[in-house]
Amino acid sequence: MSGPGFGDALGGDATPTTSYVLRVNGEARLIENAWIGENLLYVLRERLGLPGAKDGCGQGVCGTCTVQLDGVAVAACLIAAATLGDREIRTIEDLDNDPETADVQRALIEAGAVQCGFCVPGVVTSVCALLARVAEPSEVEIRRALDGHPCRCAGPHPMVDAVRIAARRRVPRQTHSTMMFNVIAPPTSGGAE
Amino acid sequence: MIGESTPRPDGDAKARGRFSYTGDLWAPGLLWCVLVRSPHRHARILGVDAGAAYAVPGVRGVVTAADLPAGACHGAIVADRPVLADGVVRFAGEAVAAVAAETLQAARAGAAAVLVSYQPLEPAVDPEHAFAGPPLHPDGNVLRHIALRHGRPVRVRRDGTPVEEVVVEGLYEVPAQYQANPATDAALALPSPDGGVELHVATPYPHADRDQVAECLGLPAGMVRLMPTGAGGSGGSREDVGLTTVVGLLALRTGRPVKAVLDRDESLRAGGHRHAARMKYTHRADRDGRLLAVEAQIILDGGAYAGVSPEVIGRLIGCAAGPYMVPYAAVDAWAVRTNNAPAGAMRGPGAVQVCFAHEAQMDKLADALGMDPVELRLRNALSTGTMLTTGQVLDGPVPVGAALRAVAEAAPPAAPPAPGTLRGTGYAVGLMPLLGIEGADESSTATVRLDGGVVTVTCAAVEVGQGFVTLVRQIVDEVLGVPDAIVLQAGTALPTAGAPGVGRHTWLTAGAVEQAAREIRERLLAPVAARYGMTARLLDVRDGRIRSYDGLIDLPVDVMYEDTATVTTAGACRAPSTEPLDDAGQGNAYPAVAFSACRVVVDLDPELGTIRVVDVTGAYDAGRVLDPAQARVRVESSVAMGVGLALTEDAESVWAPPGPWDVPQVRVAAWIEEPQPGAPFGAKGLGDAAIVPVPAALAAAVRNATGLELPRLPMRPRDVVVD
Amino acid sequence: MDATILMPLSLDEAVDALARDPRALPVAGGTDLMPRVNAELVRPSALVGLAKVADLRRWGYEDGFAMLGAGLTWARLADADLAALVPALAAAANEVGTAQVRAMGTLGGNILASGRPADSLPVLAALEATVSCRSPGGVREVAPHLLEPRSGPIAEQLLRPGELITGVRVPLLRGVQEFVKAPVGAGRYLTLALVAGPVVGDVRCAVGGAHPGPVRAFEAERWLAGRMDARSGRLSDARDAADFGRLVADEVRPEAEQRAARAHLRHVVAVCARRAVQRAFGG
Repeated sequence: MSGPGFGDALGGDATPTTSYVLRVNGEARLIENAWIGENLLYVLRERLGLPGAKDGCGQGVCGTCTVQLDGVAVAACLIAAATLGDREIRTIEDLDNDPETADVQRALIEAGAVQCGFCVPGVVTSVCALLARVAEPSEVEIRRALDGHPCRCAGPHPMVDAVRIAARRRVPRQTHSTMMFNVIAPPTSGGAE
Repeated sequence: MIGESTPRPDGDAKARGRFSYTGDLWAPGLLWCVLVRSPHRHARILGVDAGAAYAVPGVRGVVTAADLPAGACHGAIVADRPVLADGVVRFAGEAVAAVAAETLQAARAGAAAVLVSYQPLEPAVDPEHAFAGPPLHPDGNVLRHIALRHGRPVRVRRDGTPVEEVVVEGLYEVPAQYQANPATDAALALPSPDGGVELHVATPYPHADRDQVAECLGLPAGMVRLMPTGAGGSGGSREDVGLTTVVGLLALRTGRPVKAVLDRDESLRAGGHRHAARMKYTHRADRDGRLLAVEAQIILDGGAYAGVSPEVIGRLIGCAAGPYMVPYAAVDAWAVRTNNAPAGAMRGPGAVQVCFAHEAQMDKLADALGMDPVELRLRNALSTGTMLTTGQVLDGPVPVGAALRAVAEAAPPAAPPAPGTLRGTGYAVGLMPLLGIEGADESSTATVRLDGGVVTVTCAAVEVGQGFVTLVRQIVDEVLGVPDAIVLQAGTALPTAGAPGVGRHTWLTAGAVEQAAREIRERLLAPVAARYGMTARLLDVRDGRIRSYDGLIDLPVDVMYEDTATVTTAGACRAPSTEPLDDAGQGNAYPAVAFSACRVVVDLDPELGTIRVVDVTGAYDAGRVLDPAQARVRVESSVAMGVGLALTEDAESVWAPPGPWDVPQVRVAAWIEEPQPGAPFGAKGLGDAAIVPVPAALAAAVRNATGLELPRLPMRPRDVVVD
Repeated sequence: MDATILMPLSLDEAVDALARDPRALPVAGGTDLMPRVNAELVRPSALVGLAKVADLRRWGYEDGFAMLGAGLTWARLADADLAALVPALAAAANEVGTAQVRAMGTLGGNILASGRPADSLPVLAALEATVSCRSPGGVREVAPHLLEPRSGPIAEQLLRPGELITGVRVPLLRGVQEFVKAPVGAGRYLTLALVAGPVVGDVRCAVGGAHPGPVRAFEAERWLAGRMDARSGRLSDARDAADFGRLVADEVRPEAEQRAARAHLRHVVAVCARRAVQRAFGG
C-alpha cells in the first residue's frame, strides 16, 4: 500500500513546493514539501496512504477519484490540495465506518453494480453524499448525482437501482429533510435529449 | 446455486475501497516509471540522449532499446512489436525510452528531459494504402488475408428459368473504439534475490505475458514470476506486454521496485482498441427474399503491429455474411498494417464491425423487395444443421429465428415519441464465435480442495471484472452444497486457462471446476450412500442437505465431510477441437457460436440531430442462464458499449462512454436456454454476442426515423440532421 | 524564497497577493485549471487559493442589479434563490459537466475558462452583465458583450495581469430568459442565451461555443425588436422566429475547420435561436 515512506526528491528552484495542513477524515494531516500543483487525489493516495479513491483519468471525467469535501461529492483530481485550507475531506476509508455507508455498499452489490469495482468507491462516496442531503431522491436527482460516474462493466442502471434500494431501506431511520433542498428539474432546453 | 443470483465474493472489499488494483500497490523503496513516447506517427530515430534525464534530481534509471537483448519484440501471435522502439517509430504514442525516479513528478520531469531526435517519415494512415505503400515493417503490410469462397452462384431456378436478382450494395465504416477500461494499464516489478523479477500486473493473459516478458528480458521463464492483480475492467485487451517488460527491466537495472501507471491520455494513444473497419458489400437475393449471394471486401486497420489482428480476421470471416443461409459467398478480409496505434481485441471482435454492415444490407434488401425487415431475416435465418459460409455445419442450438421473433414480438415502448421528435425502430441479429478458434485447442484446469467443509478452488483463470469468481462459487454450491467457496487465482502456477472473453471461462474454467468438484462429491458421497445400500447417483445435495431420490434419506451435508480430513481433486476441460481455416476460408474453425438479436427504438430531434435511445430490447442465446443478475449486467454493459460505439465514441471524441442519461435499461425479451452440447451446464458466454447487434440495430432505428443512408459510425449530430 | 501558496482571507489580501506576483495563478474550484496542471500543460510557480475569501461567495441584489460573487459554484447558481434572480444562469448551471464539476466549478473560473466558453459567458453577454475585475488600484467593470469575441482567448481581453475577478453585476430583468444547449459532436457544444424585456423591443441574444468569446447578434436583435407589437410585445408573424434564427446564424458565423462542420454549426445556431424565440414568445 502506498505510504509516506519516500520524500520528495525534487526540491530545488525548479519545483515550487510548500507545506500545509489538510483536514482528512477528522484528523489534521501535515503535508511537507509538496509540489504546489499536486492534486488532492495524489496527496491522499501517495502521501497519506489512502488508496480508496482511484486515479482513472486526471481530467474529472471518470469519477473514480470522488471524495467528499464538506459533505459534497467532488473530483479529487481537480482540486489543488494546497489551496483547500481548512475544508473537511472525507474519503471512502472513513465513510466505510458509517452504518449508512454499509447500506449503500450492500445495495450496490445486490444491484450488480460492483463488477471490476474500480468506480465503486467513488460511486459509494457520491451516493452517501446524495442520501445525506436528500433522503428520498427522485429519479432525476439520482441520475444527476451519478452523471459523473460512467461504468464500463455494468452500464449505468445497476447503480441507479442501488440508490433506490438504499434510500428505501434507509428512510424509516431518518427524518425527512428534503424541504431544505431544491429539486432540480431535468434539462429541458436544447430540444429533445 | 446454478440459475440463481449469487453475490460476488470480492464485492464487499471493492465497495469498501479495500480491493487493491495494480496502481494501489506499493513496496518499500518504490520508484515510479514514466515512458517517453513518440509524438510522430512514423519517424526514424536518429538518437536518444538520456544525459539530461539523469541530471534531473531523483532519476535513478533510464532505459532504451539498447538496454534490451537485440530484437526484443513481443506480440500475441507474431512477435513483431519492439518493447521500446528500435530505430524507427511506427505510431504516435509508441514507447521509445523509460525513466525510473523517486517520485512520479521526477519521473515525468526525467522523461521530458530525454532527448530523442527524430527524422519524420511519411505516415501511412489510410488502411487502403497499405497494399501499394512501402512496407512499414520487415514483415510487410498485410497481417492476414482470407479469401473466403463458399458455394456456387445460383443463376437458374430448378425449372431452368433464370433467377431474377435483386442487388443491393453499400460501403460501410466503423471507427476504432477505445477500450476505456476504468483502470488504465499499470505494472509493478520487484527485483528477486535470484536475479529474476516478480511482476504484478492486471493482465488477462498471465502465462503468455510471462513467457514474452522473459524472452524480451533474456531471462529463463522460471525467473519471471507474474502475479495477476485486481483488474480495473477489461473490454478485451489489457496490459501491454511492452510496459510490463520495461518496468521489469528497470527493476533489474536499479535493484528497486518499479511501478508504472499510464495516464488516461497515454492509454488513449497506446492502442488495444477495437479495429476500425471499412467494408464494401453486395447482397443478391431472389424476388422471394431468399439470399443468393454475399460478396464483400473488408479491411481492418490493424495499426502498427500485428497484435491479435490475424485472429480477429479468423473470427470475422465466419460472421461476415451474418446469421443467414447463403448459397454463395465471396468475402475477402484483410487486416493491414498502418501507422495508427495497434488494435486489440474488444468485446465482439470482428463480429461487431461486420454486423453493422450486413444488417444495413439486409434492411436495404428488405426495402428493395418491399418486404418487412424482420420477415426477410427470418426467411434466411440459420438453424441447427445449416452451414456457415466457412462450410462448418452448426450442430449446436442456433436460435436465430427464436431470438428475432422474441424481440419483434415484444411490446413497443409505452411512452409516445417526445414532441418534435421522429421515432425510429431498427432490428439486428448477430453471431459470435466463442472460445479460441482455428485449432487453438484450449483447455483450463482447476483444483478443488475440501478441508473440514471449507472448499478452496484454485484456477488459472483471471478475474477482470466479468464475474467468473461468482460462477465458480455457484458451481461448487451446485455440486457440493457449499455456498462460500474460496476462489484463488493461481497465476502462472497452473497451466494457462486463456484470456477472459469470448465465453472462455464460462465454458472451460467452469468445466474444470465442475469436474473437480464432482470427483470430490463422488468420493465423499459414495461412503454415505454405501451406508444406506445406495449409490452416490441416487443422492442429491441441495440446501445443505443430502437427500435420496425417494426422500428416505435426509441428512445434513456435514456427514459427507466428517470422516475426511482433506481431499484435493483436479479437473480439466478442453474445448471442442477445431481446425484452421484453409485458403478459401473453409473449415470447422469454431468450437461454438452464440447469437443475439436486438431491437432499438430511438427518438430523434431532426433539427439538432440529437438521438435519444428510448428502448433496447434483446434476446440472447445463453445456453443456460447460470446467474440471472450477472447475466443482466453482462447484457447491460454490452448495450452501453454498443451505444457508445454508435453514437459518441470515436477517435475524435477521445473518451465519451455513455452516462446514465444516454442508455435505457435493457429489456430482455428472452433468455434462450437451449443447452449447448459439451458446455458445462449447457451455458455459453454472453457478453460478446450481446454487443454484436447493438450498433447495427441503433443505426437501423435512426435510418428508419430519417430515411438517411448513414453508412458510418458514430452517427454524429451533423450526420443525422434532417432538413 | 517567495511564498508559493497564499491563502488570503479577504479580497484585499487576494489582490495584493496577485499584484506582488503576477505569475501566481488564482485557484477557486480548480476544475478548469487542474486538468491542465495534471497534464503538465501548465506548471504554476505560485498559487493563490481563494477558499478562505468569503466575499467571493457572497451574493445579493440592489438597485435593479444582482451581485454574484465569482466564487459561487454551479451547484449554488442552480439553487432556487439564485435561479429566481438570474434564470438563464441557473439553466446554464444545470447543464454543466458532471455533479462533481458542478459542486466545485465556479462562476469566476468559468468566465476565464480555456477553449470556447459556452456556459456562463453567453448568458452574461445577453444580460449585458459586467464583470468586476479588481486590482490594488481599484475595480474595473468590464462588459463581456462589448469585447471582441473572435480575436483570441477572452480571458486575455477581460483581465489585466494581476487582476482578480471578484463577481458579476447582472441587471435584474422582468422579461423572459432562455438558455439552449446543443451537442454538436466530438464533445463540443453550442449554447444560446436569449433575453427579452423588461420593455417591449428589448431583445438580446448571445451565442457561446462558436468563437473564443460570446457573440452577440446585434443586428438580428434589432430586427426582431422591430417585429414586436408595441403594445402586446408579441411577434407580428409566426415565421419571425425562423427568420430570426437564420439572421443570428448569418451574424454569428461559428468557426470550425471543415466546411461541412461549419455549415452544421450555423444550422444549429439557427435552430437554437428559433427555439429560444418560440419558447420566449410562444408559438
